[in-house]
Amino acid sequence: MPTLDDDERFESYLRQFRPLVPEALPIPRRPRSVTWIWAAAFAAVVILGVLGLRMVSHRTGRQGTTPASVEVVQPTRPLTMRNANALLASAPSYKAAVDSMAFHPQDSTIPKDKQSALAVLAKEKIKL
Amino acid sequence: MDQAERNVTEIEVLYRQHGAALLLFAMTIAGDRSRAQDVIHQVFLRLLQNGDLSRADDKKAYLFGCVRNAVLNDQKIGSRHTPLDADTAWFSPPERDFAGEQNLRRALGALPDDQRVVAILHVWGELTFSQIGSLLGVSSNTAASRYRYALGKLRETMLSKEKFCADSGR
Repeated sequence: MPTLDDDERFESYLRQFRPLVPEALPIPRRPRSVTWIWAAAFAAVVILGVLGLRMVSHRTGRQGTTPASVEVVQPTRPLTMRNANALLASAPSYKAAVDSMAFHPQDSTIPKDKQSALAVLAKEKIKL
Repeated sequence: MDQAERNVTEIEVLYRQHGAALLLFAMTIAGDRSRAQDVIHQVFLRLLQNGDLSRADDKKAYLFGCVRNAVLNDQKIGSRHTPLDADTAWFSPPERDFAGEQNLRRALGALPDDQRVVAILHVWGELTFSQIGSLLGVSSNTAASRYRYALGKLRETMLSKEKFCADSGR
């Protein structure tokens, strides 16, 4: 006659046989929530903005310290004596003629060892 | 982590914890492993779709109940009762005792259905007789009684088989 102790020992013997593990559950993954997508997009925009600003400021800083060139302003048309005379002749007033000779940002750069005529004139103090 | 993600995680944990016992249980009712595997996946995928297990007081017993219902429905729809597949392993045996595994499988297969189910639920499903009684719609005493019969027959079959093997080895 088997005892309770025998039953327990037999049970523990049976439990040594482990049932086979089933195949992995094919869980359909939910797409990430819309909030996370927006947050990621916002973060990407901020990062790109910061990087862009840094690049621009870096480039500007480098331009300011470039020894090979100086920034020179000059009118859209080269300021020659002929042009100046033509301006004075055609302008309604002397002030308007001078205004039309106003400096504009230049597109080209001039090597450091050279100067434009306009730059030389700009250094002179002309009393009007 | 939102509620839906928590539910998915909980269901995954339950699958890892009880998947093997549920598969064994389903195999012994369905007859073969592939159908049992399909049923287990169906049950868990339905749980994932419907969301939540929080209404179930006893999650483990609830899962065994779901698997049992799913297998029985599957059998009803197919109007079939597949005999137990004697050639497919059910267990991972200790110390590579494959003969012992086959012996156990055959001994379980020789049990009446109601006793086999109770034995599997108690030994490998680790359900109490009260839980088994609720699951099968019988009293806990009936479940315990079926278990005692099942255990006696298992021991008898396995020991006689071992004795036979030992005798024939001489």
